[in-house]
Amino acid sequence: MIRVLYVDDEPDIREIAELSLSLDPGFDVHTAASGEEALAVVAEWQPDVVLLDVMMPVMDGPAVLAELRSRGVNTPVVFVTARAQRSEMQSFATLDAKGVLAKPFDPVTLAAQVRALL
Amino acid sequence: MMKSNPVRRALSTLALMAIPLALLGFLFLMQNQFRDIRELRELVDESVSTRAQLTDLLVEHLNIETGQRGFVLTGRREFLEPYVVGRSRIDETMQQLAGHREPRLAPGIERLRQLSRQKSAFVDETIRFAQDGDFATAREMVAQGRGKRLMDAMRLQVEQLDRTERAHLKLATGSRDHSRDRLEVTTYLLLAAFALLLALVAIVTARAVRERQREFVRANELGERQKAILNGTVDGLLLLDQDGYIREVNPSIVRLFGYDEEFLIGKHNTFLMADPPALADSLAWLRGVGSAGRRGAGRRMEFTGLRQDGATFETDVAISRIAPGASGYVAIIRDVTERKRIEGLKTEFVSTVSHELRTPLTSIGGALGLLSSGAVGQLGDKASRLVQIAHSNCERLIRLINDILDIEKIQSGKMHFDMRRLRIAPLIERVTAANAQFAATHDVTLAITHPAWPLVVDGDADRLEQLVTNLVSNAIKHSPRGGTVELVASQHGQNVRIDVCDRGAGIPHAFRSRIFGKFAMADGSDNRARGGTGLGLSIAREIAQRHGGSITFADRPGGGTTFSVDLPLICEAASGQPAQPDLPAVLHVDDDQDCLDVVATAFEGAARIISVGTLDEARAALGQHTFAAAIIDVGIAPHSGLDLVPDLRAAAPGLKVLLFTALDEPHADGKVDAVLVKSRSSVEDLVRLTLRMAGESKKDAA
Repeated sequence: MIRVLYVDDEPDIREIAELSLSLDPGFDVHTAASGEEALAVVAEWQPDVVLLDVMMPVMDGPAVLAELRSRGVNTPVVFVTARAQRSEMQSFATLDAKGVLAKPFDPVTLAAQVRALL
Repeated sequence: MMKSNPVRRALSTLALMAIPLALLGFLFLMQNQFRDIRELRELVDESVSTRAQLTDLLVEHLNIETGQRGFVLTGRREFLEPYVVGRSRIDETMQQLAGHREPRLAPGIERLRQLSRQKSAFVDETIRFAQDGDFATAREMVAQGRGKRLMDAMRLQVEQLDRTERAHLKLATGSRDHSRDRLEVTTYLLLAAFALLLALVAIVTARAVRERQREFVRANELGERQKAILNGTVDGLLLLDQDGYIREVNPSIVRLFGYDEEFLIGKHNTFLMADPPALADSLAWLRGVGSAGRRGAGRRMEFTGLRQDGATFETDVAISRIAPGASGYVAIIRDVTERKRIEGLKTEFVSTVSHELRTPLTSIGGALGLLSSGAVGQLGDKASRLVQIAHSNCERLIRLINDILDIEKIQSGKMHFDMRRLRIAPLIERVTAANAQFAATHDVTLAITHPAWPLVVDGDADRLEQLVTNLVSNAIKHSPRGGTVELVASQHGQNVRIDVCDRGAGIPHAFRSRIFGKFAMADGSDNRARGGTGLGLSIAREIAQRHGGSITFADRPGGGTTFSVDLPLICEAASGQPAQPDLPAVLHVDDDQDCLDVVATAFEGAARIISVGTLDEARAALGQHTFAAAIIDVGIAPHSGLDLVPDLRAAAPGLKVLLFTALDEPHADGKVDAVLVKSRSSVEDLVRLTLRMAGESKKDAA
């Protein structure tokens, strides 16, 4: 089982994402509602991949990534962003992220896209 | 006023010339008059002296008569004194008189001389008698009255001469008087003319002066007006000399930069820049600036301005030559800080809106997608249909947002284009693959045609795919069921052309002019049903233009529409790619640049091709490379490509020569290894044959 952590401050999107990812029987999906929660879940549950929303209050996606790396956690990170502008996407690539997925995502193929990035 | 100017100028010139002429004439007349007066004076002098001499002569004769009578009557010698004095003078006076040879006087004087001699002789005779003591005879002679008669005759003669002289003088004076009167009249006339001329000149001069004054006032007003415009304008204005040094500034410059006007005059314009370029670069840039025309300023630029207090601000500069060919420049500097701020706000707003809209759409689209996929349980037929409608419209809304953001970014210049060297064939293949599903749902077939040789452009692959995708999806949507959409890539002059052809209903005439406009749809209801946003072609055109290309459309013979995208062709061989020594070297000689480009592109990756346009360049290239094959054209003005064959043979014995020519029968007579006629053989044939023969050449050489 691949352990997937989906982090987003929007509860509706968390729910949709969890449903979409769970369509893949090989995925074990958890969610977190904030950067701080994500850090705690990563420490406790040790997921195989973290899908990180970029725009979150208090601690945004890149900050979470930086914090993970500073704690020596090398879990692959994929950003999910509604600001799907290429310049931003390219800058994420330099942040040691596995990839970037654009919102709105296609729920049916989301799991396949994540698998493709791993 | 302007029209009479030449006339007036001619008039004043004439008047000015007439004045010295009049003065000369006047001088001449005056001189004549003076001469006349001098002559008259001489005449009068002479006449007076003549008359005086005549009087003298009479007096002297009276004297000698007095002496004669006194001596004869008294016998006293002392009475002889007047006689002695008079007698000594008479001859002298007579001689003076005889000096007047004027014809009017000569006969009278001659007569007078005779009378004088007779009278003198008579007196002398009586005196001699008396001296000899014969007083009686002497008295008798005196008493006879001969002396008195002679004296009377002489007096008469003198009177006559005197009259003649007087009459002559009167006549002379009279004629001089007449000429003096004439001179007087002439003088007055001349003076009058002179005064008239002077008046004329004065009037003309006064008018010219007034005109000049008016022009001066007008120029002054114009200057003032322009100064007011320059001073009143919000934009900063610099007048620069030919080397870019500041000659004049307006108050807005002082306000924008904070420096005093006096301080700035004489400084170089780069002084105002926060990040000034090298002086030489700045000068070179300035030299390229033209004058402002109908199309606006000569040149535009942006720079970061540096204020006196060290603060910086963004500027937009329009710079032009003061006049075509003139050496100075005028630069209009606009503070665009506010505009940049607003642009930043707009970008921020767009970004926020996109995020805020996409976040709920992610949930809606996700939920609907999961529902319609059946992944979370089966729905009833009606419910399933409704969810499908909601889902497709949700997707359309997402596309619409993406398109709006795209067009906003392209038009504001914010979209980043990642330009790389691209081949067109793989690009259109990717587009077809990506649209295969969409085409299948519309029961449309996609067909690709492209040449065997690579067509290369400089472009952003993602954006060009977006462009072609927009055209292809339009074509699919407008094709009849069972139809075919054709994608054709080809070379078109200096461009790569991508044609997207459909067999749809064509574009309504009324819609053609605004087809590339935003939210442009031929028939709203119909097209919305097809799921378009109305922005696709607008985006496509923006992308094409940002690549230096264009997009056009035309009706297709037999129905339907062709959209054509032209992108500048990159000729890699000609642009000096790094040499690939393992590839065979091929020389191509042709004076047709298009043909050189096409062939060079066709050989790309298969051979190292050296393209030249003249026989001389070809001979030079032979010294630098070892060629496996040469492709030559026959007609290379002004020579024949066949002239090159001996050089080619001499340079490399195994070298294969191919003739690639437009001539049907080039009459090569076995001089070359192969002949291909341009109209009959394709460039692919040429590539294939050349490579095969180059391979043989290699074997031959080995």
